[in-house]
Amino acid sequence: MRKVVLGLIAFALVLMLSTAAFLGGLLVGRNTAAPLPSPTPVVPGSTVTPSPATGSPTPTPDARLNYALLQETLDLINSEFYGKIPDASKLTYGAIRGMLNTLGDPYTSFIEPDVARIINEDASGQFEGIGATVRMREDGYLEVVRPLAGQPAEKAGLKAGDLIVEVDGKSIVGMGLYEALNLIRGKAGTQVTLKVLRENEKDPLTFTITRARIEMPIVEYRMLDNGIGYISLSEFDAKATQRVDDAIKALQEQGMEALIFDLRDNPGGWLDQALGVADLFLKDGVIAIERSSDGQEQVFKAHAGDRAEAIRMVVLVNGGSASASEIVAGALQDRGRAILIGQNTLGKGSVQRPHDLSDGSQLRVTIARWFTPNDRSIHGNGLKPDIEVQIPENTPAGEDPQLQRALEYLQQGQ
Amino acid sequence: MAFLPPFSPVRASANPDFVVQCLFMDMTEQLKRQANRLLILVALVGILGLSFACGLKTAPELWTLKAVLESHAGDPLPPLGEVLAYLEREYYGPLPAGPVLTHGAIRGMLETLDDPHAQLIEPQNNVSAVEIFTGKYGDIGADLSWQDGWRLVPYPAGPAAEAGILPGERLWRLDGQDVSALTQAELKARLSGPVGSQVTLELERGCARYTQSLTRAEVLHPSVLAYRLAPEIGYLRLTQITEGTFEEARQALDNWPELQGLVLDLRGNAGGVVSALPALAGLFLPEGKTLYYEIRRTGTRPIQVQGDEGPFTGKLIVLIDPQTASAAEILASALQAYQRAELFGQASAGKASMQIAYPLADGATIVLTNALWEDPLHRSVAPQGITPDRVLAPEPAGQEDPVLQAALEALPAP
Repeated sequence: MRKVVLGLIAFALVLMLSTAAFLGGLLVGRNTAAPLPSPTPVVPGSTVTPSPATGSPTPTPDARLNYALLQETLDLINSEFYGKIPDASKLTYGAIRGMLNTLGDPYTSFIEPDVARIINEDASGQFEGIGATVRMREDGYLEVVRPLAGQPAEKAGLKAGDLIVEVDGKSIVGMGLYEALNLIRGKAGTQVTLKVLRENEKDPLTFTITRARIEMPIVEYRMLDNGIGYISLSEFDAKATQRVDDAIKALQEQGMEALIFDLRDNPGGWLDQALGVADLFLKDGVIAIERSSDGQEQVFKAHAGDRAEAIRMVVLVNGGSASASEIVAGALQDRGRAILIGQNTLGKGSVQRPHDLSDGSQLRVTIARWFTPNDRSIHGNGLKPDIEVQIPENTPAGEDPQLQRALEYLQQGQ
Repeated sequence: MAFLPPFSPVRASANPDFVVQCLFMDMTEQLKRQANRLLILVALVGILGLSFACGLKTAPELWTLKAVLESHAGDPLPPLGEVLAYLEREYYGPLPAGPVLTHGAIRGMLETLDDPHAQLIEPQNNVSAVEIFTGKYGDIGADLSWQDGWRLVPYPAGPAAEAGILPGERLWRLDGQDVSALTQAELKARLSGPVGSQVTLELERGCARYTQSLTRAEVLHPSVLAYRLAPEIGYLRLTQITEGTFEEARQALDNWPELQGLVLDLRGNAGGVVSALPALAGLFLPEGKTLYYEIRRTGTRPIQVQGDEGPFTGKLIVLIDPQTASAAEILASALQAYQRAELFGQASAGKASMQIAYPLADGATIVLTNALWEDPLHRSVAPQGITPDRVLAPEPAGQEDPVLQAALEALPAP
């Protein structure tokens, strides 16, 4: 009994001491500054940095918004407006968007909770769902663009062009894309019933599909003629570096001697993945330089020891190559590691940091600009390809003059 | 055989063979105890160190969170304040000034309303939209016309007339700035300002330029054009409906005691101040009649005609066209409903909603739909507009006015 009491006292003492130590740490850490909530993934199309900024200034008290005027506006709407008064959250999101519009920066953006959930999953490289890419058509129908090979949607018989009209008995026609996706996705192992319209079928078809954990197929690779390998990367999700490396390994085992790396229509993604992918092809030296508006500079460098540091290569780019894609293409072009073939890239040279807000929505703030190893800014300009190849409008389906030119270059050296 | 606990001291002393062993064991035990103590000490230090490190690591995030939370205390639209706090800390580039951000947020809120008329109007030259609607702002009291440049046409009364400015004098500069590139609306906005404020004009009379300073005053902006078409036929054109319209129209009618017929021209009249209508309608309709029904979220109430002098009782013809809107439609519709007037021309605009113009403390104005209206027969003008009793298309510009001509023919011959 006495032992138990002693033990308890000792335990309490240790607990108190460790709490004190924790608080001490907090106090000491107060001055080490600044600080950010842990980053979360964001949609492709923006470059996000997971690295915390160092030493930002102490936050100033928020004196910029006139809260009294906002309250007055709210009161006015509530008391006077003739018509349906939107939910409080809708008004709030409107206010946030309206405020962000005044910045004139399309990349500093606000994402509502429903949408944030989906894009966080997408950027992580895996999600739980039925495994089909879909798009919301302008007429309000959700169309299956492509059922992923070997995934539940394909196994159940869903086809490209199918229009999903009901999910578990609930109509999704006219619903927002992300709202609909939130209904279709769900825990692996659970079932979802879809009602689908298909061309040449008079009545709607019903599919019951068991959801599974889906890895997003962002990398495609194959061996072309004469030992030339081809890898395309469709976005820089959280696993991009690993998957490109796996593809390189597989192609090298098949005797790859030169590589075509396709970044066309790749809208970007994680900054650390862009650095990782560029590093696969570079032995050392600068990959990119990031500068914040207060002049702080961070230089990202490559490290030796990757399997593709010497392979002859061409990078394919076009107007859909943005952000993280431009970091990789710009680094390889500046460092003389690869030539770019295709069309001018988009020109998004800014870096966003995501923040999860208290209500589950997400804010992405432009925090810096990045520059190529030769200190070129691509913001607004994009990268000019070394060999420009347009795709004429009458190009037959299945032909790819840009890929063709890349093959020619690697085979003939010019 | 009994099991002998090896650490029993009784047994140890009883058996010499065991003494050495037990001494040894005592030492081991001591060592072990010391080791235990050491272990506990190390563990304690470890735990404390770990706690401290945890505190140190958590510190930036926690202090940031605290700062963020503190910085948006009082935010009526959470997480709007959080968003701003992040922008203030790390946004790349300068943030717009507080009023710009605030107005952006208000615009964003108004955009979430399903109201095409909802808008935020910035103050012009420190004059709010409400002051402009009601005519209660400082001005020099002159119309503008363009002839090789802007020319002033002073009202009969007002600062411009009092200073002796003659009709047609050319305005070169306003407060030192060339005005030739300004639009009429821009120039009007610059000429107006708070009552009592000064404006300096550079004018040209004959061939001589001179400078004239004027003190802006509240002037009556004429909204009525009145003249006689024949000895007993009057013509009143209401260009808009302001708080002064009733008084101007009453004076015109008082000047014509012998009047038999009247053309009330509401073509091109986009409406104006609804509160001016009951008195204005009292010039043509008996007091106490329902002028229109105001439908608000809280209920419907009739708005009655006001008047103490008794209305004009002669024959009345009202001219309308597709630009006749809002308050002008209320008047025309009531005159038609009571068969007090015949309506000539084309169907009116069909605007059945009414807006509130709400001045904010910083001079901006929120415009918001706050009611619908129906005429005394509970007819709504939306969306088809008022159908005239006689539909008459206007002739191309520069020709005789066939609508006015038809009205004249319908009135009692002199």
